[in-house]
Amino acid sequence: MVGLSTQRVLTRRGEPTFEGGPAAGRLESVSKHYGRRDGDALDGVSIAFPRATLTAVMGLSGSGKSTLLQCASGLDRPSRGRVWLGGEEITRMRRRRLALLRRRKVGFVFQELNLVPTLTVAENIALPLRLDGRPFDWDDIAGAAGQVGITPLLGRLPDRLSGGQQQRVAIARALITRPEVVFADEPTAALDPYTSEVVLDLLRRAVDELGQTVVVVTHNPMVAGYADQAVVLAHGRIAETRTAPDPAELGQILRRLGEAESR
Amino acid sequence: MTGFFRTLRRQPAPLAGTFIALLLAAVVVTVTASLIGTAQTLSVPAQRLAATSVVITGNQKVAVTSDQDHHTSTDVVGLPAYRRLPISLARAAAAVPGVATAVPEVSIPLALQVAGGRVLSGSTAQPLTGYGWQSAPLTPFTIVSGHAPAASDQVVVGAGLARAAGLRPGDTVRLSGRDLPSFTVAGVAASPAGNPAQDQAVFFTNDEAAALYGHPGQADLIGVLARPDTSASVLAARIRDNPDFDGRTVLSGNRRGGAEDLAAAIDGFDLLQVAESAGFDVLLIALFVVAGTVSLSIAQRWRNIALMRAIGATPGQVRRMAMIELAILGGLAGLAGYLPGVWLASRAVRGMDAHQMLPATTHAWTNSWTSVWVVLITAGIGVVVAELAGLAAVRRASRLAPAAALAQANTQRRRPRLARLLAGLVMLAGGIALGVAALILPLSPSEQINLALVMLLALMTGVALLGTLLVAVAEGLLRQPVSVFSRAAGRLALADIRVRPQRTATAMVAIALAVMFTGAIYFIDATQNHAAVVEGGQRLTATAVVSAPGSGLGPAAVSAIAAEPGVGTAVGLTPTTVFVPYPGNDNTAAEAITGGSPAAVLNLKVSSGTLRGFGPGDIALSNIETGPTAVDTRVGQTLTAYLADGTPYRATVTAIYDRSLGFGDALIPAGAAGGGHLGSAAIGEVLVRPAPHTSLTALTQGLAPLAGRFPGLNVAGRGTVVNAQAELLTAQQSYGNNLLLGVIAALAGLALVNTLAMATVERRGSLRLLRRVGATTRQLLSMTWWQTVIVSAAGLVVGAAAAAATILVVTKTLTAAWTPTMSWTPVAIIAGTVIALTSVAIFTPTAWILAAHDEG
Repeated sequence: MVGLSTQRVLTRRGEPTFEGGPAAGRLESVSKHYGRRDGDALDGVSIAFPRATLTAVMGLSGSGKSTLLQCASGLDRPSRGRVWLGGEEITRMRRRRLALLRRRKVGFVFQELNLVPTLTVAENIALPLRLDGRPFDWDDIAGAAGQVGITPLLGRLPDRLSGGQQQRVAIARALITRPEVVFADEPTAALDPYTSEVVLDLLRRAVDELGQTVVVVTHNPMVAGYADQAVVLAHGRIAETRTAPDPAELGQILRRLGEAESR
Repeated sequence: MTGFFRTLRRQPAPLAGTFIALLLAAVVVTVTASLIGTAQTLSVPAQRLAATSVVITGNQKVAVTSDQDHHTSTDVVGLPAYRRLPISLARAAAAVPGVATAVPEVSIPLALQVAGGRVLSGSTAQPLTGYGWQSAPLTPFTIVSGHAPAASDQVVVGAGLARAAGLRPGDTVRLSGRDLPSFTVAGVAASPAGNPAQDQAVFFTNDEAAALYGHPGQADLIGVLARPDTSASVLAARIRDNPDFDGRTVLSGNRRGGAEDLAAAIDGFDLLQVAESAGFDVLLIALFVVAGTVSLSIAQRWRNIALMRAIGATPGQVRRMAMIELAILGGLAGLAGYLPGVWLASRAVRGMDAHQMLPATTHAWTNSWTSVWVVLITAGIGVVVAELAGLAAVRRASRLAPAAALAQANTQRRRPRLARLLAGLVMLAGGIALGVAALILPLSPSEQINLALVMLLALMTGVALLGTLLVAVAEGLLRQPVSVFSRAAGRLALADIRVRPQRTATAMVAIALAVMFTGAIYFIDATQNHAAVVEGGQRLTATAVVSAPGSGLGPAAVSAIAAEPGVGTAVGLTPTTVFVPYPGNDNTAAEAITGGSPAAVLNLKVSSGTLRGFGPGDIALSNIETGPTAVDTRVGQTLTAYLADGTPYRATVTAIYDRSLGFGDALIPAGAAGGGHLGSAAIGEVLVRPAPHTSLTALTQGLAPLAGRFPGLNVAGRGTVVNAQAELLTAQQSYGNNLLLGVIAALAGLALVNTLAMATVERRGSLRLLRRVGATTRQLLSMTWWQTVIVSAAGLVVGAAAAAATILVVTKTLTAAWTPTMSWTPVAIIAGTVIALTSVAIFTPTAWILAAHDEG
């Protein structure tokens, strides 16, 4: 069980062979633009998310990180290119099938707007199961809550929770269906360093203990310390790729990009 | 289902707003259904004929066949006057086994002039009526003082009438407007306790009644009393089976009341029309309100929907969730709206009773069995309306890519989507096209007005569809002036409007709809009334009008007046009804002419043909009756119209006239089809044109002595008559229109408050945030004030523009000028009420949000 230990759990699995096994998700030459006048938010990005790894997608604000996550997770469709998720191509998948795929194979943790405000913590965690019409036991929900350390909060409504508590509820919800891939969009952006570590620990354990694939979009170099690979985006393109990334190096890369940007 | 109750418990505001809107719709549906039911089941209990077992009348319906565009259609309509029967039928009825007595009854509308010159005529619903004494057992009446009429100059009066008039045996009375000697009250007769027949009945000897009736050998109906051992239904069946009564109507039980009060069927039809047309208008507003609030309610929970879509809810699941929620709300609102709806309907019926628009005994339709159906229909309509509105609102939320939906949880679209934009522009263009069509197509005024109202609906729909665009325009126009007056609060208000245009648009559309409907209905009504008054003044060219209170003047009055020195032309007018053959025509208000040429005393603005030499075999029709959707005829053609008692009248169209507002749409000679088919022989008024060089004063003085012959005869100058007609017209139209206007204003006002309160509650987050970053209460209220100003101004301008366009089209069609009947008081009342309601609906929740935040 993941407790509130401040000790980082870094259980690297050694050098992953990204080219080898089938990826849990993959983008091939994906571009995305939102309006005629706007440029490409993503510009020909190709990337794979190997199974049972944690990928950190990094970059400055406006670099295309969230767009990449949305295209990779089926929340949005690319303007060009192809996307695979959970072994299926989702580029032109019908809305209903895509929703079912998201529900069964994908978990989400967002920076904000994470929880349905009218549902209690327990109900929020159970929501994907309910949507899927799957029978469940409230003990399972309590178990999932226990794994992220929020058992005493099960009966509360989201507006009575702190930011960190809300993120842990979101992680419990993301994991309850045992999804193949978990996408987290800036999950630590609004959190203090201590709570950020707790959240990242939880995501890392999902990879190590449950064999899930986690993709974290962040501008926080600290996340790189938990990742098996890191991808740095700039202007909608992949600027750098690192396996077993070093947070300090990534911090420098981001700083360099920021300085170039401000010039 | 559980999701609904969870939302209800934890986020009740959007559901409450939707429920209130649906409740309003349900109340409107119930009121409309109840009024339609009341109209269709309208029956009056037998009172004067209470003692009869069976009543036999002529066939009180007429089949009006029209043949237009090679298409023959037949409308069966109720007759406002008795189709007379031969009194020999009473003998045939008496011979039917089980019949104790069969009485042929004649009825004579009358007014009594009592001591002091006071004239009693009863009420519109219960006018004084004369009968032969042989009719007394039909109630039954029994003498309580004096004796039965034994001579032609004796009458017996009902006990209620005797009390009201202070009449006692030995007193003398005269028949108002009739050239007859006085009558002595021989006795007072009472009807059974609680039967109001005694308030309106006057009995003559049978011979005198027959003479006054004027149709020898005929009667209005035959009242049949059964022997004690024979039931009414058995007796009715025997009479129906008797070939002597083929083609007659045999009534028993509750249906006997219909024979006593022929107007009840007509009233019922009028009520049906009012309920259907007003109900449609009001229902439409309710639908707009429901659509707006449902859409707002979905928008308020957009974030939840977007999140659920992101974590795997299928579009179908999102739709189903919304549909279940709305079905529950619609059903509950339907059930909750039933009792208030029934209460309002019964109030409306009571009001119409009191204003003599319906028979006094009418009750709102709340029969227990049918009530179940009304409840189910109301709930069903509530569900359907909610579902349709919800489907449209949630469709987009369910179809949008989850990423876009999540993005839109923070900011709304600032411009309508292309499909919505096009639909809105089409509706606006359609509205304008309808207005132009109303002005240039060769339509009758009523058709033009109907087209103008459809134009209003099209404009309203266009405004609703283009709400966000209109808000953007308003925001753009007001940006500069607002910035001049208020730097911080005004700019914050504008920014909020810019970022959340849908919320502002919903609020603005609610204001615009309220202004549009109340403004258009009020001013169209005012313009119509004014046009009728103006037209009445232009129409009347007679110098003097002679009339008598109550039932009018006897037929002899016209020739008597014409014979007086100083009188050039005297023309009698009798209001009546004819049935002009064209599909869907229920009846046509008409005037019957006695005496000289109508052209001498009336300027009807004849557009085709002439009224000179107007006489038997002729008919003149207004342009309303000869429009493209009315009778397809021209001057010189012949048609078969039907008179008030159903007698066919083959007539040649001799003129088509334009000035018919407040007048009949058909003109016939009183002697049409041999005469005696108008329902009443009495003359409503005699229009007099003096001989050359005779002044009004000389004419009035010359006619004054006639009051000795015709009691109650009154001579009035043209100006006095025009003013009196104007007052009468306003009084007659005010209740029905005020009722409709009141309902629409109340509905629009409630909808306005509900929608604005919902929209304001949605701003909770931004208000709290501004509070946290240091905005003072004063600044936030100032921002709210600016938002109120901007939303009110935009709503008032848009609503007033649409209403004005409609009013102008109606004005042009009615008066041929572009100047409507405007007065600033109602404008100020409408604008003031809208601003006051807007302020209350915005400031109250804002103050509540700020107080709750400060306490928290």
